Amino acid sequence: MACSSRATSATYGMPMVVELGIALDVLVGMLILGVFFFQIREQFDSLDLKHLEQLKEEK
Amino acid sequence: MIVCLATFLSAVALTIRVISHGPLLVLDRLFFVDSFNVFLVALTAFVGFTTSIFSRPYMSIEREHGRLTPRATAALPQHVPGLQFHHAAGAADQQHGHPLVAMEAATLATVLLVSLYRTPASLEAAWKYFILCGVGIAQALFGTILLYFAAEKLLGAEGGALLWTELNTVKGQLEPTVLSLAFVFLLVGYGTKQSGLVPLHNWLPDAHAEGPTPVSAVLSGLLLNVALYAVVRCKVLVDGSLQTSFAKGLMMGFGMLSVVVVAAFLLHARRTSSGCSLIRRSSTWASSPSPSAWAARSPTSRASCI
Repeated sequence: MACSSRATSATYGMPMVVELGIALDVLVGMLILGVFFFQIREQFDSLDLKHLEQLKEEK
Repeated sequence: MIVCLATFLSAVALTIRVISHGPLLVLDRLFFVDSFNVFLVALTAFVGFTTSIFSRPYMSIEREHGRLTPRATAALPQHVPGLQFHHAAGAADQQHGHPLVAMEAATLATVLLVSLYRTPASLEAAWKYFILCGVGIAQALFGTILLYFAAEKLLGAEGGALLWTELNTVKGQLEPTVLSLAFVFLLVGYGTKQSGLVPLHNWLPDAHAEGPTPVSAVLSGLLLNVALYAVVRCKVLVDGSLQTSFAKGLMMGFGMLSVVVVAAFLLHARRTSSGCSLIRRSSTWASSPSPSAWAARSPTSRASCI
């Protein structure tokens, strides 16, 4: 059984704390991405990224 | 603020203890504190503490000017202790995966703070920050996986193959090819975060100039240090394995390049913009060479003292 669960990848999976931490990060990241989309839509009334290309060093 | 003060005091106590008693291993080898990272823990706690003091009057002034809603104002002081905790944890962890997780969590926490003003510019800055740091952290993750892949052959899956103390004892036998690959990924990944490193610095001036000032302080005072710390820890392993100046050369090259490019941008910004935006943009440009200068210098001085 140990073999079958280990044979999934070359590194046999990372330590459990790291795995869980990364899973949590991805989850929260997606949540924040969602919040972001709401903020962007509130601000520009669309989700078009061309509104987000204004910040550049002035020529 | 009370939480921050408590963290700061305990960090000071920890520092004194490490200086007088030497390295410390706690919680089943999960955290490791020595004279190298204890100063980072102390610094993190100090910056978090001062920021929490500073952010309260800052936020009330911003509210009077009508730039922030009361709800947004309340958000920042609540966030600072959390950030401080993440960074201190990242600095003290000896598992190579933990700084990664802690830094990603800290990035996620700061992203919404950068866009606190809800202006188009601040939204764009936060968007850039989120995407670029997301890419960076993914690369650092791949580097960590490679490192684990090399170490796991020697230490076994259960032997704590990402624990820094364990890795340090076997660093001479680690696979050199895999480790040099891992170092490149880690440098690029953390370099995005640490942001002094030039091809990946784009998000930095925007996030600093458009976000609230306390957030800017937290970003440059805490995030950059922890990222560079992770790189230096990894560099020690790579040096032990490769026995060449590969990692040293990479860090020095990127560091020098960053200093030169940033100096050019700084001159350019002085010519073109004016007023408040100039001050904030140029101060952030000035903040990015410091980690890169450290990166250029550290291979010779810092790493030799570990």
